[in-house]
Amino acid sequence: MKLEYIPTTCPYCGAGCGFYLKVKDGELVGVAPSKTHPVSQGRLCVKGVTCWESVIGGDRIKEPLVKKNGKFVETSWDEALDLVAKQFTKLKEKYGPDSLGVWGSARCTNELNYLAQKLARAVFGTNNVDHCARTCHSPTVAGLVRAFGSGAMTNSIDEIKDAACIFAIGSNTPEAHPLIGWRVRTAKDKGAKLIVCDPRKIDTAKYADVYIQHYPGTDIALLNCMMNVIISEGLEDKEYVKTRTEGLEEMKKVVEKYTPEYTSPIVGVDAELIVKAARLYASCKPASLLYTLGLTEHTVGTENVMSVANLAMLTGNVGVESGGVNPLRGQNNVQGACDMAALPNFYVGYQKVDDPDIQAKFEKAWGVKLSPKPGLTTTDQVIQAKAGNIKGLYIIGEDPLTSDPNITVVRESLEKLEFLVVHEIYMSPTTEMADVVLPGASFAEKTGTFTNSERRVQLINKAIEPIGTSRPDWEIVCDVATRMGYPFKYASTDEVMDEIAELAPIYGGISHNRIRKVGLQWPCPDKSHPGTKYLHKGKFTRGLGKFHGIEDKPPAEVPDDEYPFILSTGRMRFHYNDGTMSRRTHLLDREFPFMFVEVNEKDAEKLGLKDVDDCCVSTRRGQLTVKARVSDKVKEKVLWMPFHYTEAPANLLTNDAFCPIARTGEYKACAAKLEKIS
Amino acid sequence: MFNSKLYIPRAAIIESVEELTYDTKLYRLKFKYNSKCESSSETDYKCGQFVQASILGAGEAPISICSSPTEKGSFELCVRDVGLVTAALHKLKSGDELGIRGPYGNCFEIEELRGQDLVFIGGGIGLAPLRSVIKYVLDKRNDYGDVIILYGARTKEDIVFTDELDEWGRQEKAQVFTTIDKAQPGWTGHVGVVTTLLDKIKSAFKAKAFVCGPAIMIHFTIKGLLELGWGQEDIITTLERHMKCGVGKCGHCYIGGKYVCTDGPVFTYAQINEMAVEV
Amino acid sequence: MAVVSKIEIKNASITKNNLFALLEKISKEKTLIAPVRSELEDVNFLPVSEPKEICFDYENTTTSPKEFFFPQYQCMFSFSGASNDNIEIKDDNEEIVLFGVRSCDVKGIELLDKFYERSFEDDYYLSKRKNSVIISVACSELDEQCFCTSTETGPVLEEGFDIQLISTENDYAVQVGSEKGLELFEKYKSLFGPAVSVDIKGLLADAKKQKTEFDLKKVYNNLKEEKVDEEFWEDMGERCQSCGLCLFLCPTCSCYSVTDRVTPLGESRRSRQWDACYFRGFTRMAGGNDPVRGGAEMMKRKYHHKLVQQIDEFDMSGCVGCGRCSLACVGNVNWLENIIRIERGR
Repeated sequence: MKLEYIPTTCPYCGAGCGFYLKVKDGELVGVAPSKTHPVSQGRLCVKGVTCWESVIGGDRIKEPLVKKNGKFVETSWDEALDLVAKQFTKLKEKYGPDSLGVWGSARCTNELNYLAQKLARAVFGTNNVDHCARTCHSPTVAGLVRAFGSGAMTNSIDEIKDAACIFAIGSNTPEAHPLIGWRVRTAKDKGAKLIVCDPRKIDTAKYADVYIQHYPGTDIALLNCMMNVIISEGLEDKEYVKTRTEGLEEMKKVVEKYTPEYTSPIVGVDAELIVKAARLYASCKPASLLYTLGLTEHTVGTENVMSVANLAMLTGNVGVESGGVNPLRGQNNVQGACDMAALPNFYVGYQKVDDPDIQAKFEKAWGVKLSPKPGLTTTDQVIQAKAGNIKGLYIIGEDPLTSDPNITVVRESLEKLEFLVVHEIYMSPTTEMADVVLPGASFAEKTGTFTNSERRVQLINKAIEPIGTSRPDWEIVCDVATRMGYPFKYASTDEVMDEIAELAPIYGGISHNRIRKVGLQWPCPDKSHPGTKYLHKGKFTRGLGKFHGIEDKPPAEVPDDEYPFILSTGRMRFHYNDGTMSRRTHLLDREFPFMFVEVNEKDAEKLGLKDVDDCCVSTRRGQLTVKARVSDKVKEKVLWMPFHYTEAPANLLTNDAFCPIARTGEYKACAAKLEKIS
Repeated sequence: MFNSKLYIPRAAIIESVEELTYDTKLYRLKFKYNSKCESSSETDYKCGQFVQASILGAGEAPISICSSPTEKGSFELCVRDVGLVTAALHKLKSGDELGIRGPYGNCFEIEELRGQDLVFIGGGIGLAPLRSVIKYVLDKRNDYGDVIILYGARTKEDIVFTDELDEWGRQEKAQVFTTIDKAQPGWTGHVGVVTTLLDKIKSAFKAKAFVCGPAIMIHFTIKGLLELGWGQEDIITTLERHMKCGVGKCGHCYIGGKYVCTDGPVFTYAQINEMAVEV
Repeated sequence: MAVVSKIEIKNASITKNNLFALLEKISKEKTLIAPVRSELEDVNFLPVSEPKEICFDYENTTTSPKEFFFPQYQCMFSFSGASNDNIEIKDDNEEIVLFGVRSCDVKGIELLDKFYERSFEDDYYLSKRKNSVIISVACSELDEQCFCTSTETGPVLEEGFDIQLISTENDYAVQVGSEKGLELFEKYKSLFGPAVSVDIKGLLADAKKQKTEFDLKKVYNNLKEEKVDEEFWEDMGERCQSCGLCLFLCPTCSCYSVTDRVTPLGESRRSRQWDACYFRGFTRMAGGNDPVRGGAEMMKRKYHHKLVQQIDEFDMSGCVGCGRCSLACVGNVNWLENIIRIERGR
C-alpha cells in the first residue's frame, strides 16, 4: 500500500492553516489535520478539509492551448512558449516595454511571484506588474505604510485569543477566516469583550457585546466618532500618544465634529451604541483590531485603513502583544505576492522602484538596466488596455472577468489587447478570451512557499504529479524568460528563495530548510533570526506612528430614487472567490449551489418577495436574475450578494470606482434596485 | 433483490415513456438481461418499496415503484424533474438504458388488511406510490372491502393518472373524488384542497387510511383524519428523505432513531410520533 | 457473518525485543500499518517498511484507523458511457496488519463492523476488514481529553479484539481473542512467551476509579426523554461552523456521500467520500426542502444517534470516548463537556 501524508499549507484563505494531504497510489484521497501547526492546531474549516477534491476535477487543463481561428487547439509546450516569447518580444519592440503588463498571482507561490516580477522588470523592461491584492488589501499596504511604515498584519493570529477586547470591523471572520474566527470565539469564551461592526448580522454579531450595524461606506464617520468619544472622555492612552506618535492635533481637529449625535444618522446606528463601543475598546487592553475587505473595498479604502490605525494608536494598542491592527489577508499568498513585489512601485521586500540606490542594487543583481518609473496597477492596466496603451498582458492565476468590478468594461478592455496569455488550472471566463492558455500545476503538484496573513512564510510540498502536461507556474515563467533572451536558471524553488533572501532584508533569514516545520514570520533579517511575532514593539517601522485627519466621504455611487438600495458584495464560508475550486468540490457546492441576494425582511415584504423567490437585481451597469434570501441579516435598504458564481457574476453590477491612492474597486457599495419576477 | 451486488446497478431498459404532466413522466422498465446471477424478475417487489434509479454520470435518486407486483413483465416509475438526476432521467427515451438497485424499504402491509375497507388520500405526485397498492387491491378485488380514493392537485395540469382515476372510480365498491386547489376554466369537478374532501370519508374511520403527498398536504390531512376519529395506528404514510445508498449506510435519511430507507419509507402515524418527526 | 470470530481468550506474553522482531517479520510478509510520528510531530497510522519507523510513545493518533476500512475517498466503480455493462468494480483488498490501535478505536471498529453488516452487507467495508488483523495496545495512562471509562470502551478490553497487548513492567502481556488473532499468533509462536495472566476487570475498575466523567445510563435517559434545555442545543447549533472535521475524525462515524465524477485522466467513477450530518446539505432534498429545521435540531439528532440509537441497536456506546472531536472544533464545542451537561439534565 502506498499511502503518504504530505504536509502542506492550505490553498484557500490567508489564515494559512497547515495540514496533511493524504496520497494513495499517487492520487489525492483526503486531508488530515495537523495538531502541531501554529495556525490550525488540529482544526480546519470545511474548505481546507475538502481541498483535495478541488484540484482533481475532470476538466483540469492538461495541455497548452493556442487560439487558432477563434478556437482553442492543444499544442506542445515548445510551440506555445515560442509563440508567447515571440509575441511579447514583438510587442515590446513595436510599442515599448510599458505596453506590456504582468499579473502575478496571490494564489501562487512566493517564488512564482518573484520570478513574475523579475520577468516584467528584467525581461519585458516594465514596472507594469501587479496582482489581485489590488482588488482587496492594497489600501492596507498604502494606509498602514503611511501610518506605521509597514503594511502588514501587526500581530500574530494566535495572539488574538488572548486579547481582552476584539474590535472586528468589516470582517466576517468566522466565514472568511474560520481559523481566525476560532480565536475570536475562544477569546469571547475566555471573557474578552467583542465589538463587531458590520452591515450584516454575521455570526460574530450574534455573540458580540456590542454590535453596530452601520451602512456600508460609513466607516470613517463611525471610527471618527469613536475617537471623538475617547478623546472627550479622556480615555486615550496619553503616555503612548505622547511618546510614540505624531500628528495628534490635526487629527483631533477633524474628529471634533463627529459627536455621537452628529454621527448617528450618518451611520444609521444609535448613538449610545457607538459610545459603548468606544469606551470598551479604549478601556479593555490589550485590544486587537481586526478588519478585512469591508474597510478596504471602497473608494476611501486607504482612508478607512488610516482611520483604524488612528483608533489603535490613540488607545495605545499597536506594538503590544495581543493587540495591534490586524488586516486579515484574503488569499493564501496575497501577503507573499506583495512581499515579492508583484507590485508596480516596489522591488522585493518593499524597496521602492523610484529610489536610485535600490534601482542600482537590482540592476547589479540582475545584470540589466531597469526602469525607474513606477508602473500601472491592474486597475489601470485594464483602463489603459481599453485606451489602447496596453497591448499585451500576461495573467497568472487570476480571473478578472469574474473578480474585477464592472466586468462589462473589463471585457471591452481585454478585447482590445493584441495578445493575452493566461496561466490557469481550469478554464474560466478570462481564459476564454486568451490567445494562449498555459496549464499550471495546482498547490498539490509543486513545492514552494506561501506567506500567510501573519507574515509566516510556510512550505507547500508536492504531493502528486502535475496533471496532464501542466507545469508549476514558476517553471513556465523561467521558460518564457529564457526564450526571450534572459535565462532564468533555477534548479528548484529552494534556489529562488535563496535569491530572494539575498535581495530582500525582511526575508534575509528565510530558506526552505529553515521553514520546514513551522515557518518563519518576517522580518527575519538573517539566518539565525527566529522570526518576528509582532511588529512595532518599542518603535514603529517609520519611527513614530502618524495620525491622519480623515474626513468622511460617501461612496462613489449612493442610492437615489431610481436605485434606492445599497448593494454590497462579499464572500461565504463554503465558497471561495470565483469558485474555480470550491464549485468543483461536492460538499461545498452542495451547501449553496445557486446564486442569491440577501434582502431585509421588511424590504422584501414591501416588494411582495418571499424567500427563494426569483428576483432581478440591477444597477447602472447590468442586471442579474437571482433567488432572494429573505432574513434580518442585512440592514434595511441594503442588499448583499456573493460573487462566487461565474454563471451569475455579481461583478456585472459593481461599480468601477476606485480608491485614488490604492486603486481598489468599491465592491462594497453601489446603488441598486430590486424587482420581483412573477 | 433486483441487483446481486449491493452498490452495482442492474441494467434496465425503458420500454415506454408517458408524459403525465409538464414535469412528470411515467417510465415502464424491463431488465436488460435475466442471467443466472441476476435472476430476480421485475415483479419481485412489494407495494410501497422504492428503487435507486441510477444514471451513470449523474448519480442516483430514490423513486417509488408505482406499479403493482400483480402486473407481470415490467415495473413502473413515476419521475418528477426536480434535481440533477431526475433531469438526466427525463432526457431518456424509450429503448434507453438506466440502472436499478433495489427494491428497498419496507412496504404497505396490504396482505394483513384483507377484508378491510381502505381509504387512499393522495396529493400531487403523492398518488404514485399509492397507485401501487391501489392497483394491487383492485387486482385482488374480492380480498378487500370498500375503497375510497381522495385525490387533490394544485391545478388540473398537475393531475397525474387522469384516466386511471376514472377507471378506478368505475370499479366495484370503489369511489374516487378528485379536486383542484382553485377554480379553473374547463374544470367542473370539486374545488378546494384535498382536505375539503375529508367529509366523504367521515364515517369510514374504521378503515385504514393511506396518505401520500407534499409535506404540507400530509400535515393537514392527518390533522383532519385525527379530528374525524382515526387512530394513530390506522393512518399510514410515507416519509421522503435525501438518500444516497438506499440501504441504511450513508446516513442521510436517518431521523428519529430510524433509517427511512430500511425501517421505512412506510410508517404509521403512531411510529412517526415516536420518532418525534414533524409531519 | 461476524467479522471477529471470538475465541476463548488465550494468554501469552512478549518481550519488547520480540515484539520488534515480530513486527519486523510481519512488515516483510504483509503490509504493516502502525503509528508513525511525522517531522511535524503528528502521529498517524501509515504503512511502515521496518519497525524502527514505528512510534511507540503516543497517546492516540490524530486520524482514526477507520480510514483503512472506510477511507475518506474511495472509488466504488468506474464506468464508460451510459451502459451498465461497462461497470468495473474497484476493490483493493490488500492484507494488512494494523498495529498500535487503542482500545477505544478497536471498539469503534467493532461498532462499524456491526453497522456495515446489519440490514445489508457493505462489501467495500467488510472485505477490507476480513483482510485485516488488528494488534491493539491498551493504554497505560488515561489522557485528559479521553473518557473511555465512561463509555465503557477502554482503556483495556475484555473481548472483541484480535490480539491485545497490555504493558506490564518490562514487557507486554498478550491476549489472543479471535480466530484471526490466533492464526497470526500460531504463525509467529516462537516469539511469544509464557502466559501472563492479567486482571482485566481489576484494571478496568482501577481506571474507572481514577477517572470517570459521566454515567452513560443517565445520559441515555436524559437524551431519550428530552430532559435537556433547548438553549443548550441552540448554543451548540450556533457554534457549529459546519467544517465536518469532528465527524471525519470520529472512529464511529460512517456517513458518506456518493458522486459521479470524471478524473483528470478521463476515468468516469462513482465514488464515495466521507460526509457529515453537520452540513445543512446533508439532509436537504432535491427541490430544496430540508426536514432538519435548524442547527439545534442538527445537534440533537447527532447526540441522539450516538448515545441513544446506537446503544439500542448495537448494545454498545456509539461514542468510544477517544476525545478527538473536541480537539478539532473551531466553535469550541466540547463533546465531553456537553455530555456532562446532558447528564445534569434540566
